[in-house]
Amino acid sequence: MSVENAPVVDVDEAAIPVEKKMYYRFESNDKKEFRVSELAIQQSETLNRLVEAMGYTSEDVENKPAIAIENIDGKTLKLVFQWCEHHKGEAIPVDDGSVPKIVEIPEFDAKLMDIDNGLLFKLIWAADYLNIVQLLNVSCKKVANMAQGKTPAQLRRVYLLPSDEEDEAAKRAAQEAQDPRAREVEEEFEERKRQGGNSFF
Amino acid sequence: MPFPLRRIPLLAIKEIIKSMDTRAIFFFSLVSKKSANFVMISIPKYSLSAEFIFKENGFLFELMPKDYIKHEVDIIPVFPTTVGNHSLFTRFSFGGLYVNCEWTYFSEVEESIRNLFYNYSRPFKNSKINMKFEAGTKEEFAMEIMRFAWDNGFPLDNIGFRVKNASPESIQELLNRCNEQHMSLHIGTQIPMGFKCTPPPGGYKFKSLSVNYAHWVNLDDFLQCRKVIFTTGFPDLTVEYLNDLLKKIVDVECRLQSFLFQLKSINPTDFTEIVEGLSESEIEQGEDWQELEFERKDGLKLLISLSNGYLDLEDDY
Repeated sequence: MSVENAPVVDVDEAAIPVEKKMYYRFESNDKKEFRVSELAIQQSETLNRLVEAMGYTSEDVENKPAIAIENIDGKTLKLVFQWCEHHKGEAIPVDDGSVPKIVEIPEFDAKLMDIDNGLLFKLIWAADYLNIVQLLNVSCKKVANMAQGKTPAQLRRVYLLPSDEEDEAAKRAAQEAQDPRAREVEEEFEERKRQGGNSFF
Repeated sequence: MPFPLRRIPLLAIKEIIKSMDTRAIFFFSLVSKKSANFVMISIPKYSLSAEFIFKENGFLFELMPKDYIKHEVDIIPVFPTTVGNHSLFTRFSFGGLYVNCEWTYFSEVEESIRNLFYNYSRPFKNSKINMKFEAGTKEEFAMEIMRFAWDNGFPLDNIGFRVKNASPESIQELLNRCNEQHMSLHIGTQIPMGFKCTPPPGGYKFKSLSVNYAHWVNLDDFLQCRKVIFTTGFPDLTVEYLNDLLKKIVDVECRLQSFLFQLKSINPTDFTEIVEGLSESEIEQGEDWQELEFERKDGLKLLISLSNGYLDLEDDY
């Protein structure tokens, strides 16, 4: 099944499915609504627990408001639900602790993740938040593959990794933001040093 | 467009690192202290194997998946580079599963090697760690490194201690602090003739212990090891002792199931008496060897052989 044909329905754009299976309605933080099958939801530990706890009937699904997923936007959520529908019924993989971790990216997933790094970033956040183990595996594998054949300097650029000096500066800035008086004290100290004073107190 | 790795959840960062090939993990650990920390917390215990080889004028670091089998043909040759007081020779396997870095120093050797070891061992401290100290390494330096590894809880797996000479105190410390059922220890060091070993209660329990200069060994202290190799200077054992030992092994009264002893006083004619009562099978023999297959109580097949003054018990033949 192609990515385009995956049975996730964006309510704004397509008709409501008429299948008798149980579907749930979810709403992204930008008010896009999706209908997702019960089986597909089982790929997400977070959503699965949520719908179990809610105990909705088919009528509830139609009559009550869609379940809000407040920190994921519609574009990302569409990818997530397309992935869940395509992989519905598949077993949740268990990590065997091997390194490098063996993760195959199926053709469907590769096409689904043929997206810019900004959206891939959001997809990983969503997979982590919704606890979709295999989606997290494949999306992380895609990011890991970016490191192949790269030198440390190239990795720094590929992954926007700060140097030790940059990390130190960021740590100092964070400390100062927490305690503005610390910066004042430091400036006062530096000023006294410039003036030749040998005692701060 | 770069990928802002540090801004994703920690669980995802760990997943990404675990999914990288060994070469990428190694290079990632070199980017910054924080990257090294991420590697340290991401790699599950014993999933990688790290080997540190200390040489007279250099240091070799190898990193690979735990069950990786090294094939020289797979390794891409790289020309060495010389920077400052050292040359560096880095090689990787095709596919990036195997990393090999070798430094050769022209000055400040110990200090440089110490720093390299501290830097490279930290991110990979959850790996199965093998350490080898070659003949030119100084005893004090080797023991300093060993103490660092013990004190930091490194999961040591295999130690090769081949420094030229070592004090009784160092050997005793090495034996007692390495004494674990999963540990392999090789002591290739010349040991003072007066050395008396003080075993822990219950004796030693190494997976494998190999000693080149074995004049100090009392075999009774090592019967709970799985495999022992005692060669030069190993005190003579009587035929009766050896026959009793083999019967204990058959009755699983000790953990020992493989050994190699260099025995000066044992003659080929003694073999029949050594193996008496072990098996109904006939002794096989050639011009300068004799062997007998027998079975332990639990069904483990063993082969005992005598050849050129070496008595050899094999459990995997």
